[in-house]
Amino acid sequence: MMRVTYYYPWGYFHPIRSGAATLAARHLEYFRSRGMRVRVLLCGDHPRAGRRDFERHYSWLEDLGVLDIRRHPSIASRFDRFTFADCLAGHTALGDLPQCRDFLSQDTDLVFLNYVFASPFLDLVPPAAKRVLETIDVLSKQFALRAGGPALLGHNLRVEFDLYELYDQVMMISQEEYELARARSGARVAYLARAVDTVSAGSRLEDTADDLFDLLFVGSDHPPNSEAIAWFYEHVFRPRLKRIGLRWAIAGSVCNHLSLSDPCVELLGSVDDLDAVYRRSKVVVVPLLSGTGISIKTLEALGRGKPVVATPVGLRGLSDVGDCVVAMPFEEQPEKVARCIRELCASQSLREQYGRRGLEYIRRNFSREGYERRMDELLAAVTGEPLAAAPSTPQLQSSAA
Amino acid sequence: MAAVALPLGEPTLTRQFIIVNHARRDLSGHHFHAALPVAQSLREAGWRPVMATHVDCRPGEVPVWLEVHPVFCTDHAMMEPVAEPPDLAGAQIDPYARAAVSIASVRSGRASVREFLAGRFASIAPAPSAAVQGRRVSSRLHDCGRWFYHKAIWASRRGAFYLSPPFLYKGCRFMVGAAARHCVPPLFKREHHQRLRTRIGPITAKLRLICKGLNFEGGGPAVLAGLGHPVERPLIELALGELAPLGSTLEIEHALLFKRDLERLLAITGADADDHVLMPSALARELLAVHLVARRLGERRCPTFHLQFRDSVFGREPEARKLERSSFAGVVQAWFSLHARWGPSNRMRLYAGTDQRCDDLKRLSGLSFEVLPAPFRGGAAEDCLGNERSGSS
Repeated sequence: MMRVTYYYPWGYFHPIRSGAATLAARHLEYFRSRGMRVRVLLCGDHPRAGRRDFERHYSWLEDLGVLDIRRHPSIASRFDRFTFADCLAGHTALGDLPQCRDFLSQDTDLVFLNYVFASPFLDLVPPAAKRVLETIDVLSKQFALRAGGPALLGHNLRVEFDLYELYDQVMMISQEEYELARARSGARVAYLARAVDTVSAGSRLEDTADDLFDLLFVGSDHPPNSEAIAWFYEHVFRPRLKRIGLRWAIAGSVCNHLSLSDPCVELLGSVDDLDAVYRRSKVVVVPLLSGTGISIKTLEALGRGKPVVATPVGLRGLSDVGDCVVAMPFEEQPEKVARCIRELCASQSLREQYGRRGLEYIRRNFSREGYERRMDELLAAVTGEPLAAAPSTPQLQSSAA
Repeated sequence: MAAVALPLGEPTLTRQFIIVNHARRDLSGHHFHAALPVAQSLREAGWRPVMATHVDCRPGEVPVWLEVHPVFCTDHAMMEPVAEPPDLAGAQIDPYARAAVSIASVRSGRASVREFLAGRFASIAPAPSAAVQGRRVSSRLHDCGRWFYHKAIWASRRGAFYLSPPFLYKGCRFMVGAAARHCVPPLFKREHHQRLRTRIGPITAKLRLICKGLNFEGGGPAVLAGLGHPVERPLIELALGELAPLGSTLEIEHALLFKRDLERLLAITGADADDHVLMPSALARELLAVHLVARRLGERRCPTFHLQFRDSVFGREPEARKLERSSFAGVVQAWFSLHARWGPSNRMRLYAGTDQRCDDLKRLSGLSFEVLPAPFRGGAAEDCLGNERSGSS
């Protein structure tokens, strides 16, 4: 039975509160379905809150380690500064903690790290263990959105691509970033289309109630989300949509960083049943102006059969998306964007048409079966052991947020 | 004269070939278009091509496979002010600090990830040694002592505030404050120390130049910083002695700014003795920068620099070229003469683009140049590399 040590840096990933957490949950389900013995190491700043929920949901884990960074202010300050250098330095310092050292140095067959800044942990893992990196994003590009110019980006990209070479397998969920890494790094990189939950065939895509939200935005506390909301509110919603009575719902932890006070904008915060919120909404907007990797929120909205109006950044990482979404340069054509949203809100048949197309696109490109098949291939190539679903383990549960 | 190829040796995926293309502030013009096919050919030949550009260039304009570092703040013409140096916060930008650990060393188990990162980021220390561990204990004790000291000061102040009559408390505070302000000379006050240091350094450097009879007119902070370094000072003083009478001290300042950016580039890329740096449109003033870098890095760590001089020295008319030199030619001649006086370096090779240019430079400087044609087409670049491969086999 294969032993896996899995590291995730953003605390408990159940209940799911971000795109990265969705991915982590999916990987854990996959490991379980293949009968692997899994040990999970987490890093968080509030390790007590939510631990019980997490432990109940993942009671089958062999071991759970939680690094409490608040007990180490010098490390916490690194993570607070949140630059590429600081995240690497923070993980280097975490590696000095006896708890982290003990956890990672135990025998295992596969070490699965999330994000390249966890690479200092490679010094601690047993030499015989195979090493897999889930990049989520090319992080130097992600950090470059926050601070530093092209020169710093050049430096950080180089370090990042060099670090990829330390892994037996690097998995990337964005096709564009995969092409970049393949061109610039000698590492063994692979594109892994992440599995996206879809509504079951025949189910309703939209409630029939009268009080539907016209617009919906779902996002975590990642800074580009709040920037996008502020811009969209100021340039599109307030001057062009609010006056005709449209209502906008915003869900997710991004609400903690918003100071919008408008009766037409409802801040739902983190919700237990995101599917219900999608059903209560007519159109999903993704007005992102910056971002890297793949737009998970767009994928999830398409998987729920919702019509999506997005900026080019909101469609990053999605190839051949064609007429499944309404793609527009928001900054250049705010009036056209508003007109398009009005049309979609007014026509249920148009919404259904886009919704069905998007759903089909997700089923074609981001299916659970495709994801499992690809994981089987990649991990089998790394470990030399064929992998398949273990008959004794339960079928994967839907982990809709 | 037969054209030569770059003496590169056997390519491997870990060996870098860095093309310095800082001549213009955008990626237009023949310099960039000549450099691209070179990079493409190198990549196909198994090298790791890297391009360094002016800081104002947007890397988005180059192919995705090409690593780009926009770090240079000077361009060729210098018709505009020197650009602000790029923000490299957190990055290790001192190539002399220690030899950077390569990723290949980490893969082979000869170094740790931590050591690799410590060579790239100033904020990451290499693995703590036993001595460092000992210091950690002492620093913890020191922190503890400081905490008690500050708490004791705070408690005595609070005690004085609550227990003594207000007029006495305020009177004493005023007296102590006034005594500190008016009785202690600024020289002994900590806030003035940094200012004094930064003022005294340049003044002593200038005084030293005056004593040696050298003119500093037109020099700037880069020259002053260089004069403060024991390895750099002799070369810079020689340059000032030659170029100040020609009114070209500013050239030295630009050369030293180029050197600063070159150092950053070498630190970022972790370039070492196996790597090559091509300067396909080198200027004579950049000889100083390369000399200083080569001297400070030493033979064991310095990459090989290939300086290709393309600019015409004498103008277009052959008659004029034979009769008299322009003032520009005089400055170029001074730089080459300095190059000869600084002493040869095995890590520097000089080229010109054509036979004619080679003859011109040879006549001007007395140095020998090889012909390295500017590969404006991909085929020419491949010829260059191909010649070397067949020559070295």
